[in-house]
Amino acid sequence: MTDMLLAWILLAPLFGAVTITMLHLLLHKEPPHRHLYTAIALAGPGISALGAVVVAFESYMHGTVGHATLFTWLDVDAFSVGVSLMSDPLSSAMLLFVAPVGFLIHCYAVGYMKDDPGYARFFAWFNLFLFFMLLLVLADNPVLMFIGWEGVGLCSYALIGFYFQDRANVRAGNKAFILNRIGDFGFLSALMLLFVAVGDHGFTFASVEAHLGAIPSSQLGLIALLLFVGAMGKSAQIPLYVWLPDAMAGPTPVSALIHAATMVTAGVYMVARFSPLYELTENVGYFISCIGAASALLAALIATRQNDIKKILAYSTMSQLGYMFMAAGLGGYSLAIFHVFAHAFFKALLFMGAGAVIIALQHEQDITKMGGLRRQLPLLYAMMLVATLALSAVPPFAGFFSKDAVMAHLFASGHYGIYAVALLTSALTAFYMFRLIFYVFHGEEDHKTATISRWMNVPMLLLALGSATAGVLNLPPLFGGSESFSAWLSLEAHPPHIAHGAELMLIGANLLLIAAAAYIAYRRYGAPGAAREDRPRTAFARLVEGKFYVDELYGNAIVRPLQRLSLWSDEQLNKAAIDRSIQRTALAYLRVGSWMKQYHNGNIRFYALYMMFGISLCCLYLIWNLEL
Amino acid sequence: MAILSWMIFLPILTSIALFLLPLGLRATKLLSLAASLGVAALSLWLYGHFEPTAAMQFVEHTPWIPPYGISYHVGVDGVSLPLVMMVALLMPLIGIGLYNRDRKGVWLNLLLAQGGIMGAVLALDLMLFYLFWETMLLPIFFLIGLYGYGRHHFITMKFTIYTIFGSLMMLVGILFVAVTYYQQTGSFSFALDDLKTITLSQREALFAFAAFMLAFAIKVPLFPFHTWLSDTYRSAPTGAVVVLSALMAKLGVYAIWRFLFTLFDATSHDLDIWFVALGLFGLIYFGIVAIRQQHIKRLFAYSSASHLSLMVVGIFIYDQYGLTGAAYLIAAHALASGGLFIMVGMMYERTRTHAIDAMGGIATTAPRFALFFALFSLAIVGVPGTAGFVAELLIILGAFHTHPVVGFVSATTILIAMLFMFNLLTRTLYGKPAASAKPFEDLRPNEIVALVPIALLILAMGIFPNLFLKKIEPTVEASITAAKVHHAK
Repeated sequence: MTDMLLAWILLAPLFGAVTITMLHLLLHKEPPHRHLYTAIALAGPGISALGAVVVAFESYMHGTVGHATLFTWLDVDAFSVGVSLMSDPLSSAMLLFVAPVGFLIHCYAVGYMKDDPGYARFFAWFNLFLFFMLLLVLADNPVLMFIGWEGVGLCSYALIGFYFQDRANVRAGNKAFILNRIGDFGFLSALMLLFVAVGDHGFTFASVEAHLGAIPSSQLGLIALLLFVGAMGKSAQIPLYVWLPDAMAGPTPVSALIHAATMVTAGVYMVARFSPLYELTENVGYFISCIGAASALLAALIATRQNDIKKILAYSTMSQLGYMFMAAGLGGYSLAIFHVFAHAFFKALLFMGAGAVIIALQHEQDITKMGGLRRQLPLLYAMMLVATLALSAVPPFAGFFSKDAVMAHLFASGHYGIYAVALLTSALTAFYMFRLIFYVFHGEEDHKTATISRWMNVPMLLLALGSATAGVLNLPPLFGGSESFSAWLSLEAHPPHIAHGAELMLIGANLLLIAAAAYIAYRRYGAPGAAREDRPRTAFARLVEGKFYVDELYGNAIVRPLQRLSLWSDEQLNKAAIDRSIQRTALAYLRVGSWMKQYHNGNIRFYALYMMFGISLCCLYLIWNLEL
Repeated sequence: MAILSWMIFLPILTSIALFLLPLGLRATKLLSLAASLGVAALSLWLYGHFEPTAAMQFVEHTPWIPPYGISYHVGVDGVSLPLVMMVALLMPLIGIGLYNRDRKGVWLNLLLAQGGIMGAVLALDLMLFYLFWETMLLPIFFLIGLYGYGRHHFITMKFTIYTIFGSLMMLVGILFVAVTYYQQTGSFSFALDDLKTITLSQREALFAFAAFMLAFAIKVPLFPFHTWLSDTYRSAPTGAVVVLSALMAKLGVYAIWRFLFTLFDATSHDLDIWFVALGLFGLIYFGIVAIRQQHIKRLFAYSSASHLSLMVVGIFIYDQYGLTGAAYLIAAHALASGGLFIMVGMMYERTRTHAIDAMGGIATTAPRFALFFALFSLAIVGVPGTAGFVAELLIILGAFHTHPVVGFVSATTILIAMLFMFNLLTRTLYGKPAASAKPFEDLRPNEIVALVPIALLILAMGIFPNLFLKKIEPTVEASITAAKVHHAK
């Protein structure tokens, strides 16, 4: 039954996307059929969500692994790729949050987008996105996964530039797609190398895993590294992260679904999916961990000085993704996936809350212009607080269990430097999140707010519930659990162990830092009579505010030189060098022709002269030859 | 006459008849549309009855000038099939989509060009091939010279001299090969199958190879034989550009495989590294040049050149995946670039400009137009779900299969195309509509009829490639196996 279900889970959103597109093309000049679109847009994700829960339940309880082959996509010589789906524990775990959270955000979007003229277009892309994301997660071979991977990038591009009348939004979409594709270049190259090495035995994850031993270790390292380049792009890690903050140009449900809960975590999923490969390449794993740590710290630092509510959350996402890579790089794949899982709930909730705030304040995004909203929107305040506590890793919320497991793993594996960065980032996280909360909900200001529809509130409540309780799924032994989520995935070969006492000490230290950071944020932004301004104003703080000027660096070092090269090649090389030399050759013939022309002037005496000349030459030739 | 001859001569004869008969514009349009639709119908029948084997099929072979062994010899196999289909299918769509063109000569010349290209694709006799090769040049000369934009008289001369220079070299090559055959066997023949049996010294083979290659390299074009390209595309009327970019350029690539690889197998193999390098260079170079173009047709000219270079890489790596991918890309790119150029023609009908900066905000006023334009652009970029992705994936796979360095450089194709394509989309479709211009009219019914088949085919070829590849594969396999055996000797 699981097999049939997989096809349904995958195809339901695609059906929605196609139907909406067709209807929209046929009806777009008539008055909008909003309810019709709503029904179709929610049906697909709804079916997927139900199916996903069933599949995950079957997998968790009975260890059922579903397989479904829809058709053979490509079959040239040894290169055979089927549209084949698989629900092993890892896929099932991803399904468990992708489809339900996706469905909830679809519901939220019904409320958020209700007055938008592009309603149908939005849901067509949104459904299509879910289809590609599910394809990515369910694919049983790397090529199909790559197709899903590129597909989500395409939908992300289209939805970032959704408000396309402003070209800045479209440019943000372009930037996202181009940086993603730089990553995809690495991903694709890695797949091709992998196929050339082991593809003769078939090219599914299972067969690749079975034949990894046949690949020389130097090449294995290259493949592992190139795969991670793909993850850098999709999951916004240094140096390919600059698209993520700009991607906030899209509608807020897009940020919640694509740029927080699902697509950006695809990189982590990919590393976990290729965990047998990364088990063999520890150096690359360490490199991944370092990139993750650097990204986490950098993003958290920048987030402390941002004023756009969505950009703070975007940097926060990048920072949390850094945690996931820290864990995955050092072999804690299931811990990384669990953090992905928990993060999907509270980060989606934070974005949806931010969207609600933006709607309530008539499209204001600058947190320094907000304040006092806890009085007007108490329910929203409570839900945002839950999500903030979860993100800051305060017990007993979901983020505490997932992040703490990551940090314990970092410590236990003996990489204390990376652990220290994680600890510092954790404090920064609490600081920027409470800064946001205090700016938006505290203070004396009194704003007129618009009401928030039930379509938005109900999904947020459900996610708040998830953010509060999802941690129990992977309760560590310290709190009487058995890490059942990790046991389900069983990705780690040898998870490092840590004494309970030591773990408690780590937790204590972390909580102390978080409390201190939250208190500083309270003193600066939340306390009655606080100045509510960013301090101190040192040179380093200005550097942080300028986001370390990485965008400017890329612009000057890569984009502008490339454009100059383009102009130079066209004008200097094409026109001046090659074309002119060819035209000169043509002109030279013309000149020779006009030089010759003066001797063909129709004057009989000239021709007689040439004749005489010719005859003389003939005579000379004959004489010469006769003498011999 | 059998089916292939009908497909070649129906358009040619219709064109001549319409030229001689004093018919009105409307009758001319309808009759030429009927002729090209007839060819399209024949091609669908042909596709259905094409057996997925390596053999040459639907062969027609009749002596034509027996003393010199010249015969009328045509046939189709797996590698020529995609190109044959494109020549047959795109033509009526150009006619339907750009039905408003009110110059009788445009319609006649396009029909003539179609017949010429079809003949060149199907010809298996070198003299016949040369004849069709020159036949297809003639209508383009007229189309640009009579109906072109800008300095079209100068440009059509330049284009013609460029091309004729190449094809005359090829003629010398053909004669040289035929005479050598005569010297070695005592009888004349221009049949490809006969001529491939001659033995040439390395030096002779190199010269003959160069003579042919020059003609093909100009047609494709390969760097540095490309400087006719952007002016010609800019100046040529839309129908002619579709023919040039979607069909003729591909014929250049196809001819390299069909004639050079057959006649001078050893030389082609010895020189392959150079042409792979030239192709990879062109892929990146043309892509970079395209980024800053201000004229939409020039941008697409370089975009096409970039992908054509990739096709050349695909065939010169002598790899099954590469050749399959190149044959597939011939069709995929013909569809996408053909669709785009037809749409550029529609844009020009509406705005009377080709300047990219003069456009903008099309998606706001003409959402259907924007949808098709974006789909074709994404097919050029090679996004999954479109035919372009399958083709590029196979070529990249073949490249990695050959050598990792070749692989890495050809994989940049997934980056190169999007650099200029997305910039173009941003500047034309998005933003606010230009305030001064009148609203951009959305697609008319006849335009939708023309574009929908292209779009559906692009998607079908991207989503179910296996259905299409099965017809190509046996020929490719036989060709690569033969090349390997030959090279091993």
